[in-house]
Amino acid sequence: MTNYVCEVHGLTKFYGDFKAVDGVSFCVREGEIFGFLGPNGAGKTTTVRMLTGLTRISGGTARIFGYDVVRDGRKVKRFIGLVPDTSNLYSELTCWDNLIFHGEMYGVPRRLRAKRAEELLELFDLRRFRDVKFRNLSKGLKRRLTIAAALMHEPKLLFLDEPTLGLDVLSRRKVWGLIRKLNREGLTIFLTTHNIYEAFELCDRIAVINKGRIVAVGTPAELRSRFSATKVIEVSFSPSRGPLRELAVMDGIAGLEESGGRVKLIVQNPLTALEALTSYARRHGLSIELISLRGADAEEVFLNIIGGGSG
Amino acid sequence: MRSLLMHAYYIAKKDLKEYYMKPGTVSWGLLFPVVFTAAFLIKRGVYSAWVAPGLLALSVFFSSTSMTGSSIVFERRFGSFERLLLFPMRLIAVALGKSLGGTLFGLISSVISMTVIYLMTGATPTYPGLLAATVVLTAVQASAFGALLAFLVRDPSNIMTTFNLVRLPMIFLSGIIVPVTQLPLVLKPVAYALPLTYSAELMRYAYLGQSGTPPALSATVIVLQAAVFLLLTDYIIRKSIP
Repeated sequence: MTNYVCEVHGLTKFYGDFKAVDGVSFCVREGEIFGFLGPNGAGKTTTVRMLTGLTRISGGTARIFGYDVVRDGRKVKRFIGLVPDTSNLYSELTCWDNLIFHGEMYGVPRRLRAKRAEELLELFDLRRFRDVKFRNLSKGLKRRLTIAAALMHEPKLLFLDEPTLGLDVLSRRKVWGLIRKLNREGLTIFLTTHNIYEAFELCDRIAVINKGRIVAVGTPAELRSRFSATKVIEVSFSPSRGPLRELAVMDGIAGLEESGGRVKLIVQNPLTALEALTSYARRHGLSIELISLRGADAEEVFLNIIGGGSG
Repeated sequence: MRSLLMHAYYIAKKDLKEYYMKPGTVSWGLLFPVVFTAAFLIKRGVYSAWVAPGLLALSVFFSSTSMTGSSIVFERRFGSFERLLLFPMRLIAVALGKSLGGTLFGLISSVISMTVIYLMTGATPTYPGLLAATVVLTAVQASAFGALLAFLVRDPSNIMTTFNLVRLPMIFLSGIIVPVTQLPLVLKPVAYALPLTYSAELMRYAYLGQSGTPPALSATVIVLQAAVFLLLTDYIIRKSIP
């Protein structure tokens, strides 16, 4: 039997008349890295904030380890850790003091606090920054310490909201390595990201959210195969292109964008799309200068998924 | 209850480490009260003996409000205030903890001001126990007031400006420099509505054995105001969750 650590049904959030999260439902399995992937403003952070008690829920239910996040909020908070999208620890406190403060607030027994803080400084390679104030750390180090602070009470479920946002490649790789390591040690992770590569690289399963709604759920392999039929046609016309709006609604064309004088078409059925393209060119008296057909990359698959959800 | 108090204590301890050296806290919470106190006591005499207890109340009030204000405004501005909402505790621990930090800072300031008063006037309290209790009560009340006021300010650069808009008129209206009984009739109701008035009156009683307001009344008002300010702060924190 599958053990779900987080079960969400019809979760909804209104800000005034604006529906930021629109009835999302999903379950997170014990021991997995569950990705919540979507563009900026899709509702990822709002969902995490509702699950962690930072934002009120307008509708639906959410249970974490069997406890209702609204009714049993304080119990839920003992089991979870949150790393928000900004590293917002206390700037005038040292790394050590920040960790100890979190231990105190989560009720970690005094004799265990120092031991746990030492372990985390070691694990996150922060030992030599122990007495450095948080404000004097680099962005990558701040991120690592923020994650470490969320682990002081040994949560069973860790929410990571855009954990590598704004980090350079090295720092990002370091954080990815830590996430994998924590997961291998048994920690269930709920990770939000707008980065398709990050989601595909780290997650066991991914829910794709757009405009407050979940538009696809599956393993990275399932999502890829679901859209493996997706192809990209890149084409340039002469003397110039015709009206793009007309092209976008033609048979076989799922998405379209233009850059550098080329039109990129996301297509499910290349043959139908090519026929549509030919008739379009003929109708507008255009000749095709260059045309290529290739499989879609991860980013294009993502755009195709969220494009499908927007309609 | 023990857990609630422990959480409040940890928050206060953290705030003292984090904010006691902030420029606004030091200048308006320590330097201004001490300099103001010294300036009024420079000329010895009957007036300095009368004004000294009020100046002590003013010192505690400025220190406690500055500390609590800084800790809340900075944390709200930089997003770390929300971290407090993640911890498994009753939310009122936040209001209590923030106020406790300001209270402890106010107590430190009171020791400095009492020393200045003693050195410049030689004044000693008639009722030392009552003075100690009044200092604590004033610090609690002022911290809770500062916490409440802090939710009106979003930008840390405006914090002391906004606070002083409220605090500076109190110097003249709370019976610190001029007795409330000598204020124009129209200002008397304002004076009796201000939190600092009762602290000044009670401290005056503790030092001189006499005051314009009965000490029991002053003590009751201070306690009630502290409770109301704390509960309002807790209410605002809850309401601030979107």
